[in-house]
Amino acid sequence: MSQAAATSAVSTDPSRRARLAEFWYYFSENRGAVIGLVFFLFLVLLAIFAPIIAPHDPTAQYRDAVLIPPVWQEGGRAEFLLGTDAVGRDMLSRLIYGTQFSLFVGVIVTTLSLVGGIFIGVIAGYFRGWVDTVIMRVMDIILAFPSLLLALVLVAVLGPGLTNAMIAIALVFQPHFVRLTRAAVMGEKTRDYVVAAKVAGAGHGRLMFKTILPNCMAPLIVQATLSFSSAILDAAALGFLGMGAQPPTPEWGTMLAEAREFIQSKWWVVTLPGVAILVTVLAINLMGDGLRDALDPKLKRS
Amino acid sequence: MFRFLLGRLAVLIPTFIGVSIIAFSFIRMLPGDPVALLSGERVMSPERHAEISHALGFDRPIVIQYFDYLWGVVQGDFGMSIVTKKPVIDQFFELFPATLELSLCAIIFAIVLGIPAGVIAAIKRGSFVDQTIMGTALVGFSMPIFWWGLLLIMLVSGILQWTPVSGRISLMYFFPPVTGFMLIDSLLSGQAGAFKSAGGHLILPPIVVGTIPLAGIARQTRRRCLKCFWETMCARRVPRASRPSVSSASMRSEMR
Repeated sequence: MSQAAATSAVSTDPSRRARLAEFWYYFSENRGAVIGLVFFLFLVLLAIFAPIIAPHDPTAQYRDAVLIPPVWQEGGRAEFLLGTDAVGRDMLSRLIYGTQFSLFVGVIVTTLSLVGGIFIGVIAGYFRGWVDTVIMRVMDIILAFPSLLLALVLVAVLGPGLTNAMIAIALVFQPHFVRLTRAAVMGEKTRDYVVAAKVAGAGHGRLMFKTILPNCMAPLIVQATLSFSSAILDAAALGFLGMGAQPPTPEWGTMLAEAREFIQSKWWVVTLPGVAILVTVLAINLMGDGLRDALDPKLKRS
Repeated sequence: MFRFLLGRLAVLIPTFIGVSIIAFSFIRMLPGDPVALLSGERVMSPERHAEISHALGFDRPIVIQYFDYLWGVVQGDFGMSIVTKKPVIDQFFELFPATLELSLCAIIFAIVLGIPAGVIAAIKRGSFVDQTIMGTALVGFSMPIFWWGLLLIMLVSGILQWTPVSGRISLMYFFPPVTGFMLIDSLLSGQAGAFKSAGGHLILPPIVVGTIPLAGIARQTRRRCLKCFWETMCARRVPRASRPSVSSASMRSEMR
C-alpha cells in the first residue's frame, strides 16, 4: 500500500522531475564535476567486476616473479602489466581489488555517520533544551580530539581491522553531520509550513522526519560527498599505519605500508597505490564541488 | 559581552571533563599491561607484579585513579613517565618546540604561496592560468599526505639527493638546546654549516604538512576575491555589459 503510494507520488508529482532536471542542468554545466562523475562510475564498475577484469588473484604469490617492474620497463613481463610486489603478487590485480575496499569504506562510513548524525541532529534541533545541550556537549568532546588520532586510538582499543576502522571513522565524522542537521532544523522549525503541519495535528515524529528533514538535505548531501572522500583518505591512512585492513588484504593504504622499504629502489610498489588513492579522492571531490554548486539555492537566483 | 564570555567558559568545563574521561579511559582500555611491559623480556613473579602495581597505584579502584589523575592535571601535574622516571610535562615540552617549528614553517609555506595563488586565479578568472591553479589546488586538497611524503622523499632525497631523508639536523653537529627550535639553536651555536643543515632538514616536512592547508587557502582566497570584485563593480555601477558574466556556474559558485 505504502509502496504504491510512493510510486504514484513520483509519477504524478511534476515538481520532482523538474527539480531533478534543474539539478542536472546546473551539475552538467560544471565540466570538472562531470569528469569526476564519469571517473567515479568507472571506479564503481571496476569494483563490481573486479573478479572478471583482474588478470590474477590479488593474493596469489608468484615465487618466480618477485618485484618485477611494469611491462614498459626493462625486465617487465607482459603477464604483469604494472609489475609485482615483494612477494610476487600482481600489482594491477591488487589495485583493481583495492577499489572494492575503498568504495566500500566510503559507502559504509558515509551511511553510518549520515544516518546517525541526522537522527541525533534532528532530535537536538527539534527538542532543544537539555537534550540539545547534552548532545552538543558530547559532540564538542569528540570534536576536541584530532580526528585521525581519535580514530587511531579507537581502532587500537577495538582491535585493528577494516570493520573497526570504519566504525571509528564513522564515529569521528558524526559530529559534523549532527551540527549541520541541527542548524538546518533550527532554521526550518519556526517556518509557517511547519507550524501549519503542527496545527493540522502532526506528531513529533512526523514533524521531525517528514516535514522538516526533507528541507534540510542539501547541505547534508554536500557534506556526505566530502566525508566520502575523507573516509577513503582516513581509511587508507589507518591502513598505512597498520591499524586498518590487515595484510594480505589488497587495500591501498595497507599496500603502501608494505611498500615503504622499497622507497629507494622499486618505484612502482610505492607510487601506484598512492596514485590510486589520489585519483579516487580527486574524482569524488570534483563531484562534490559540482554538487555544492548545483544544490545551493543561493546560487540559482540569477 | 562579559556574560557571554562567562557562558562560553562554563560550557568549556563539561567539555574538558569529558575529554579527560575519554583520554583516561582510552589509555586504560588499550590492550597491554603496563607493569608486565616494564619487566621486558624477563618473566616477573606474581609478588613482584603486585608490588609494582601497588607502587604505581594500579591496584586502586579505577574511579579513584581517574580523580587522582584529574586532580593532578588541574594542578599542572601530568604524572611521571614510568619508563624514564621524568615528569611527563617536561618530556612534552622537550619535544613540543619541534612540532611548533614544523607547524609554523608549514603554515608560512601555505600562506605565502596560497594567498597569491588565489588572488592570481581570481584576477585571471576563467583563463588557463586560473584553471591550472585551481586544478592543482584540488589535487593538493585530495592528497593522501602520508604517500605524498614518501613520494617527495623518493624523488627529492632519493633520486635528486637534494635534501636529507630524515632527522632534524646532521649528526655531525651537536649543541645543547636553548630554545628547542632547531633553526634558532643552530644559529646560536655558531657552528659553521649547522644552520644550513637544520634548514635543509626543514624543507620537505613543511611542504608535506602544508599541502592541504595551501590548497584550502588558495581555494578560499579565490572565492573571497571574486566576491569582493563583484561587489565593488556593483557598487561603482559598472555597466552590466562590462561586468563579468554571472550566468556561468563557475562564476555563480564563487559568489557564495
